[in-house]
Amino acid sequence: MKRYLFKRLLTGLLTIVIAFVINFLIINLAPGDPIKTLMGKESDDPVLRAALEEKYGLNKPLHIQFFSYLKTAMRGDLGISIIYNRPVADMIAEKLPATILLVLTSGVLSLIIGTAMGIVAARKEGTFIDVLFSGFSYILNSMPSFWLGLMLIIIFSTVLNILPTYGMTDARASYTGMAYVLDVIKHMILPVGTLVLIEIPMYYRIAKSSVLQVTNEDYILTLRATGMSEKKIFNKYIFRNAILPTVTIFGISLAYLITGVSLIETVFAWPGTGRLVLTAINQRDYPTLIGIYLIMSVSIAVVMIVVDIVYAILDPRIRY
Amino acid sequence: MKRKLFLLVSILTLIAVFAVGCGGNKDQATGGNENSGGGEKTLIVRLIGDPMSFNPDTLADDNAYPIVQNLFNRLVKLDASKQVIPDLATDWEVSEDGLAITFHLRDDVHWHDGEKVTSKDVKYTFDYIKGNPTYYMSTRLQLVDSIETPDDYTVVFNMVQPDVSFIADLGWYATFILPEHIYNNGQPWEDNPAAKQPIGSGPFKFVEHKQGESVTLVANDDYHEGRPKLDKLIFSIIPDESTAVQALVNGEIDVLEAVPAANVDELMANPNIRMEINEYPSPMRIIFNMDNETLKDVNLRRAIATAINREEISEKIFNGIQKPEYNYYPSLIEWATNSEDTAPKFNIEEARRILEEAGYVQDADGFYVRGLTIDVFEGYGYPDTAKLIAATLAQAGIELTVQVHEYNAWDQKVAVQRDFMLEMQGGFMGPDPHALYKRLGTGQAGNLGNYSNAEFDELCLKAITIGDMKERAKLYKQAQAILAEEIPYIPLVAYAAYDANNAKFINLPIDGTGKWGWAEYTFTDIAE
Repeated sequence: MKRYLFKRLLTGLLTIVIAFVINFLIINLAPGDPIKTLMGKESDDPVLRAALEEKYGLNKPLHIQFFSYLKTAMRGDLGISIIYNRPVADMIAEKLPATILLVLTSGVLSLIIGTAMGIVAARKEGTFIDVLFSGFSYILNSMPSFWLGLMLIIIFSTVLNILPTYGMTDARASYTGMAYVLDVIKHMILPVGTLVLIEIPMYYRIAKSSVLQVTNEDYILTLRATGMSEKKIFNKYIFRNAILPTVTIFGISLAYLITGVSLIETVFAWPGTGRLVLTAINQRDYPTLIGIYLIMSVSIAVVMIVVDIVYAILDPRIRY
Repeated sequence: MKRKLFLLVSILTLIAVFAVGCGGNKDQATGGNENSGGGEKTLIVRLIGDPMSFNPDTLADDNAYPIVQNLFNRLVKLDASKQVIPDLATDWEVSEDGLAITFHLRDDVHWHDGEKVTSKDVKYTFDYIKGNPTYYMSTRLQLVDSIETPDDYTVVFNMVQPDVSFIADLGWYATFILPEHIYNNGQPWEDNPAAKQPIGSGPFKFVEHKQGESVTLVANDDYHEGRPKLDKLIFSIIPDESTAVQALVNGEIDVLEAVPAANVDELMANPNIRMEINEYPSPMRIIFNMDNETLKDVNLRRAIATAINREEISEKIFNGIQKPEYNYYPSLIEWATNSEDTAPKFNIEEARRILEEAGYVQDADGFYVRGLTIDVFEGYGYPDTAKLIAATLAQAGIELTVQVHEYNAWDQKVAVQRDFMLEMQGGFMGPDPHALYKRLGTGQAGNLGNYSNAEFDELCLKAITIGDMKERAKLYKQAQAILAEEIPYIPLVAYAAYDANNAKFINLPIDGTGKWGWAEYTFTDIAE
C-alpha cells in the first residue's frame, strides 16, 4: 500500500508539472497579447506598445519568461494580474466562494433529483414514468445552458416578475444578516435552477443504466430465488452497487468547479471564477490564466489521487 | 401508480405555490426599497466589465471611462456630440505663433479631501505622464516642451510645434487632472494606493469597487457646479447583452448604452423606457494595404469601392440604425466633412467597366481579380458585413475571401504585423479632424495600410497651425478630396447605437450637448 501511495503521488506531481508547461506554452503562443487591452482599442502607437512590453517583460524570449514565472510560482506566489494589477491569488480567492456556492448547491440538487429519477425509471422500466423521465432528460440534454438561462430569466423575471434578473445581490439595497442571506438565495434560484436542469440528464442516465445493469446480475436472480423481498434486495444489494459510478461522476465534476459554469455565470452576471477565466482569456491576462489553470490541474490531480486511494481501499486487488 | 402520480403533481403544485409566495414577498420588498432610505435617489448604469484601474491616466480603459468622468475633471471635456466644452478651464487662448496655449482655470474647485485644485496639479499631472512612456498620452505629450504656471489658476503649455488639435485631445482619454498632494509620494501611479481609493475633484466620490459586481459612487456635496441631483451612482457589471436588456426592462438597471440592434424595436415599444440614438464619428471602414502589389492599382480599389452596397449593409445588418457613410471624414462633424468628394455610389456595371477599362481580363469563372482576402474580427456585425461585401464583389468579378479572427488575434495580425490585404475596422475619427492625419498620414501609428501622399500630409499639417475653423475646414475638405481620388480606405456605415434609460430619469449624458460631459451624471435627476 505504501509503495502504491508513493507511486500515485509521484504520477500526480508529474501530471501537474506537464500540465503547467503545456498551459504556459499554449497561453503564450496564442495570437494576441495583454498589451492590446492595456493600450485600448483606439491606439496603435508602437512606442507605447514597446514601453508596455518592456514593463511586463513580454519582449523577453519565452524560455526566460517561463523560468521567471516558475521561480515565483515555486514560492507559492501566483503573480500579479497584468490587466488589473492585483495579486492573482486574491482575485481567485475573492471569487471562489460565489462559484462554490453555485456549483455545490446545483451539484447536490441535480445529483439527488437525477439519481432519484434514474432509479425510479429503472425500476419502472418501460412504463409511462420511464418514458416521461427519459423524454424529459433528452430534451434537457439537448438545450444549450446559456439559452435555457435566458429563457428562465424571461419567464420568471420579465413575464412573471417574481425573481431577480442578474447578479448575486440586489444592487439597490445593501442588506446585512438574514436579509442578505435571503437576498442571495433569491438571486441563486435561477442560476441554480438552470444548472440543475442541465445536469439532471447526466445523473439520470448513469443511475438508470447502472441500476438496470445491477438488477440483471446473476446474484440478484439468486437472491430473488431465495424469496427475499424486493425492497430488501433493492436497498441492500442493488442500490449500494449501483450508486458507485454516480459518486465518481460527482467527484470528478467537482474537480472542474472553477471553470465549469462560466457560461451560466456570464448569463446571470454571477461574480464567480468562471467569468474571471473567460475575461482573462479575452484580455490575454497571462498570470491570471496560468494561475487558474495551475489551481485546476492541482485540484484535478488531488481528486484523482483521492479517488484512486479510496478505490484501493475498497478493492484490495487494485495495486499497480 | 395513480397515487404516486398524484403525489408528484401535488409536490410540483406545492413548489409552484412556494415560488409565487416568494415572488409576492419580493414585490413588496422592491416597493419598500424604493421608498426607504429617505427617498435616496440612486441611478444604476450597466457596465460591461471591470475597470482596470482607478488611476484614470495610466491606461485608455473603456470600462473605467464612464466612471472616472464622474470622479475627476479635465481641462476640457467632450460632450454628447463629441465636441470640446470647458471643464476645469473656463476659457483658453492660442498665441499668435501657435506655440503657447494658455488655459484659465476655475478658482472654486476642491479635491474630495477639501484641498484646492490649482495649476500646480495640472503641471504635475502632465509632467508625470510625459515622463512615463507606458502611460497612454505620453507619446502625444512629447509635443509639449514645457508647462508653466504663472499663477494658481493659469496654465501655459509651451509647444514644440503648433498643434491646435492638442486641445481636443486633452478632453478625451487619460488626461484627467490628479491631486499632486496625494500622488506625489514616490510611488508610480499604477501601484499607488490612491489608484484603489481615488480622490478626484468630480461630481461624485468613490465608495467601493466589488470586482465582477459593481462600482459605487456617492454625490460630492461640495461640487463646484452644485451638488449632483442623484445621491448614489452605481455601475453594475453585466457581461451579457441579453441579460442587460432584461435587467433594464425589469427596472433593475436604469441606463443601458448601445442597445443590441435586435432589441431596439422591443424597447422602443416599452413606455417605461426612453430610447435615444447616439451617433459617433467612428465609421466602420475597409482599409487597403497600400504595400500590396495587387492593391496598389487605384482602379481596382475604385472598382471595389463601387461594388459595395452600403444601403443593403445598413438595412440587413444594422436594422437601418447605422446609416451609410460616403464621406471621407464622418458626416456627423458637419464643419469639417466634405459631402462633395465622396466614395462612389453602388453600381456593379460601373465596377465591371472600371476593371475592363483598366485592362483586367475575365478568367473562365468570370473573375477579373482573384485571391483577395479581408481580415475582420468577430462580433459587432463585422463578419456578416464582410460576407455581404464579398457577395456583391463577386458579382463585379472580384473574388474576396472573408477571414474572421478573435479580436486580439486580429489585432496581432493586422495592427502589429501589418499582415493583411484588406481589413475592416471601426475607431474614433475625433475628437478633432486631425484624426484624419493620425489615421492616414505618412508613417503615423494609426495608418495601418501605410498610405502615403505628400500633398495630403501637407494639408493636414497646415490645418493644425490655424485657429480659424473656416480656414481649417477648407484644408480638411481638400485633404478629403485627395482621399476620394486615391481611395486608401472605404467608409461603409457611420457607427450609431441607441442608448436606453428608465423614462423616469431626465438630463442624461445624451441630453448634454454643449452642457455636460459624454458620460457625466451631475445633472441627472428623477422627473417630478
